[in-house]
Amino acid sequence: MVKITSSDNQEFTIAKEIANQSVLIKNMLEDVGEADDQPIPLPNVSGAILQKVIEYATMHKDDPPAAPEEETRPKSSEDIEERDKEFMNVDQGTLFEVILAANYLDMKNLLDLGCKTVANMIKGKSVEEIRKTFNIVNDFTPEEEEQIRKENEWCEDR
Amino acid sequence: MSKFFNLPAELIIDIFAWIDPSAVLKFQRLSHRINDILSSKNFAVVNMRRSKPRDPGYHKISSSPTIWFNLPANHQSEYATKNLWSLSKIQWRMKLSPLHNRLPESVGQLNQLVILDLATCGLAGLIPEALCSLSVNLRRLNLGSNNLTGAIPKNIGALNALEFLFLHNNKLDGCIPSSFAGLKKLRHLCLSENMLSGEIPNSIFELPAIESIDLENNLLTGVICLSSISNGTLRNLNLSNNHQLNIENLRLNNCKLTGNIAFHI
Repeated sequence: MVKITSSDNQEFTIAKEIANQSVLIKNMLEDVGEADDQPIPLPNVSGAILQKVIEYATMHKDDPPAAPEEETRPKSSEDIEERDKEFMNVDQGTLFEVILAANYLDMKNLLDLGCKTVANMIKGKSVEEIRKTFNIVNDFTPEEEEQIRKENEWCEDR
Repeated sequence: MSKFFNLPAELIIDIFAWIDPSAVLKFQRLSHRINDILSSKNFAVVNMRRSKPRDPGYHKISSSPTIWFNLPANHQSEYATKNLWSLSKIQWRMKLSPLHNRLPESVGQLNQLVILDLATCGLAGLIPEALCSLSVNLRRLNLGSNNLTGAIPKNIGALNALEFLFLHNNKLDGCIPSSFAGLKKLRHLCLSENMLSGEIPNSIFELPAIESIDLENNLLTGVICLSSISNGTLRNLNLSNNHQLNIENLRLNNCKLTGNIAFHI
């Protein structure tokens, strides 16, 4: 078993095969060796999010390891398992926290899942809708925005 | 709480890269930061890698494969590498929009090309110097009847497999580069109806395989000396309407030229 602690000092004890899904933790474990039972501090992840990440890792503990993207056929953001869709049915703040945690912990599958989920929220929406959904402030002058809009006119309606 | 716009650039790239290039570019106008991210080389690489490759045959059949011209420069390069690299022939007839009418720099990556023919497509701007790297296979280059401006790439002579060079009816200016001497296989040269000026390098008359030269309607000057033509391959020469070309200096002694010579001055 492996002990990890979150930024808010919550301690989790998890099976090694679950911990190893994080390349970051896996490398740390290899560095410190088997003997050390000190908890691994993860100062960038809160307890609530770590709980969520562990839930994902447990759900996927029997998955084959992810192949490098270059070697796989083009993938679509629509390729999401039903259980993962359910797992990602969370508020926006949590979604971004999970993405940040997956990036920090180096968990490719979870990172892909998070990014695909956000991409699917963006797809088919207008620029204005996305600004609203994600609270993005338009810092272009109307002229600048019009210039970019014109350059992309050929694909604006897709 | 984490917000979308607080995500690091690498993650914003990762998210948007899941959306097809033709659908994602409109999001450039979300904000300055997102525009910068979506215009980056990194984004183009990941985005094009995830998009479905198009069958190269698509470009032979399709009458308007304009997407290459429409994409931003970084995407163009990835598109060329991914979708166009295997083409030996580009012979497209299309009407490019005035906003997307530049010949992409990445044409220089298509080193399987034997024929590049984009005549009457509404191309404008400069002929990219990168084109000159297609030295091994390119035999026919036709960019005639467009709105190309600027000078002929000075390194054009590097295209040493070139047999046909048609750049007529554009708005090209500047001199005929001296590197033309390197076009050892060039048979047909047509630079008519441009605004080329300066002296005509005599080396173009001495090219070993040259059969026809058309320089009509330019602003070319100088002394034309055809005396060194000894191989007798040149059959057609048109120098008409180059008002500053001094015909008195045209010497045709010892020249085996046959066929048509036109000098309506």
